[in-house]
Amino acid sequence: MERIGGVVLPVVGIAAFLLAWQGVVCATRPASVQRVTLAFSAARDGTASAVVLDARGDSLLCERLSLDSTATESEAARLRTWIGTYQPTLVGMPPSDAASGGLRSLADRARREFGGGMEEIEVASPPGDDPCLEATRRATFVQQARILRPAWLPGPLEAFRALAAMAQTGELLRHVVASVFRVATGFTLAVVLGIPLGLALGSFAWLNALANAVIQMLRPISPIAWLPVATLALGGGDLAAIFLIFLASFFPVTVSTAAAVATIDLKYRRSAMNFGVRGVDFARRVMVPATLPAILTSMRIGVGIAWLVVVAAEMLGVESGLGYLVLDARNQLRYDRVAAAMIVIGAIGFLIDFVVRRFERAELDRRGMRQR
Amino acid sequence: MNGTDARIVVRGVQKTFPAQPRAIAVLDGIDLEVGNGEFVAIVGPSGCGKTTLLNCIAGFERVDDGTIEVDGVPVAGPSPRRVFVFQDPAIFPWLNVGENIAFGLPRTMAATDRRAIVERYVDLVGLKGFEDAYPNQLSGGMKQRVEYARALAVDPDVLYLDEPFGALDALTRHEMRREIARIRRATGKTCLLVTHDVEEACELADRIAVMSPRPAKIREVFDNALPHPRDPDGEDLRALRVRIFAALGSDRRV
Repeated sequence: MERIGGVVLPVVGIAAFLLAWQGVVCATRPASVQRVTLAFSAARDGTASAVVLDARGDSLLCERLSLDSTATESEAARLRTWIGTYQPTLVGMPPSDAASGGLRSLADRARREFGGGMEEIEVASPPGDDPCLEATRRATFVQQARILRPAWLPGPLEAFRALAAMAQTGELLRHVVASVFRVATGFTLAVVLGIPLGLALGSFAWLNALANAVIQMLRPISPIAWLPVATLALGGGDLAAIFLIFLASFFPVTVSTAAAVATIDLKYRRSAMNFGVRGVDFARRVMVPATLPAILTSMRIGVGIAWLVVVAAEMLGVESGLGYLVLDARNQLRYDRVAAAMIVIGAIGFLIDFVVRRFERAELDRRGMRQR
Repeated sequence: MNGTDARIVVRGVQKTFPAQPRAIAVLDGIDLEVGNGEFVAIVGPSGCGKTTLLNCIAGFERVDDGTIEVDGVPVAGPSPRRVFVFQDPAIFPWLNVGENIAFGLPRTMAATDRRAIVERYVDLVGLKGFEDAYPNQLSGGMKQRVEYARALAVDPDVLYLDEPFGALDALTRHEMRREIARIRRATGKTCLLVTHDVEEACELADRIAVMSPRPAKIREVFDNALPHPRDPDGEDLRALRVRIFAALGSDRRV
């Protein structure tokens, strides 16, 4: 029974969660795509064709756009008008095509005004075809296959598919490494400075009186609030993010360590005093081991907060990391990738907690202080 | 008790705890002497200030008035020459039995000497084979034994025992009492015991000082020269207990 509880129940829990997730997605997803589709196709001669198909697949509009530099402004204005009028689903063309660059920037500018997703679709069509025909085929394909939906909640399947795709390209690994590096650096810094400071604050009443008010006022400021100042002072790169992580874990570690020192059992203090153990010797032989459980717990909490904060810290000023991935995917309206990034954030957070907990338990075991 | 071989001399000790609405006078002129190698017990009603007195004598707390001298020197603080044994064991949970016993030994001592001392006191308190065990693996009585071994390992002149069996169950308490009597005979240390257990005091001590309720004075001191091992149900001890209970102002019969 214990074995079943250890493995089967968590799996059942996760399955239930995924099912509930899919349920929410299904329940809130529009029944069918009723929106018109605007499709583009670019020929090699610097022109592009745009067609708008209604929900039944009938052509509402078919126009040829000229993509040379002089015409760009007016074409953009026309695209804006169409998108504003039809609010269509946008479908693009493979980027390999010569004229697609110009068309993409046009469509982008128009899209920015009204929103909507822009998707590039591969359609098997022989070269040299009429671009207008190709655009029609594309739009029909989209409507029939319903590949493109309006931006809506991503389901677990889409999320895992996006996850697999990102893992395959190595993109995911890059972001994970960037985030983990920032957390590791900031957190290490926080521990290296926070624990000695905490021990000192707990040991010397005057130091505590001096610093406590400042610490207690700095502590409730969310590290995110430091982002503007940090970017101003440290530049928009890794340093600002690392500083935020440092802040996030520094205060919990320092304050808990100080509190733990203050609550060391009087009988331990007295017996150390009795045997003439004081000063640095006392810190090393009594204070640190006595406060170790509390310090380890505060480290676990600190790294947890650091992981929460790194995602937010990466939404500004950096171009890597899981936080950046979330924001970037959202900007691309790739909510499946947003969900995939969230899954990765959760999984790594879980892993960190698991590892730190293991370490905590091993350290306490080693000192015979296993808490039951 | 003649004054010349007195090891611990307490004269006119006063102690008041600041409190609201008014300060609490705890000790009100305590006089006490403990001879070299003597075992003295202090008994008194609960809350009378026994432990406060012992804390003052051990140097953990300051007195407001009066003097406490050990070997002719005023007590300025705790010293490894006089080790305090706490009510619940104050052995360190992060050290194993051997490391706990060696805690008070000088850091400069050679490892072989340390090992020899640890071995000797592990033997003395009957914990052979438990050197590597951690306190949370030990019973209450065994922890208390480790605490005694740790105290004895530094070879102190005096042991201060603050209700050392208070946290133990009745059975273990009796066993530990015999154990302490045995260890005491083996080592001949001067002991000052604070307890509310009259039977315990009678079984262990050479003299028993009875404290009054707060603000406390020493009401009466009883000599107890019975030979060891003592039978707690023997006629002599029973008679002594009755006298002590009378001095405490309590009728023992229920």
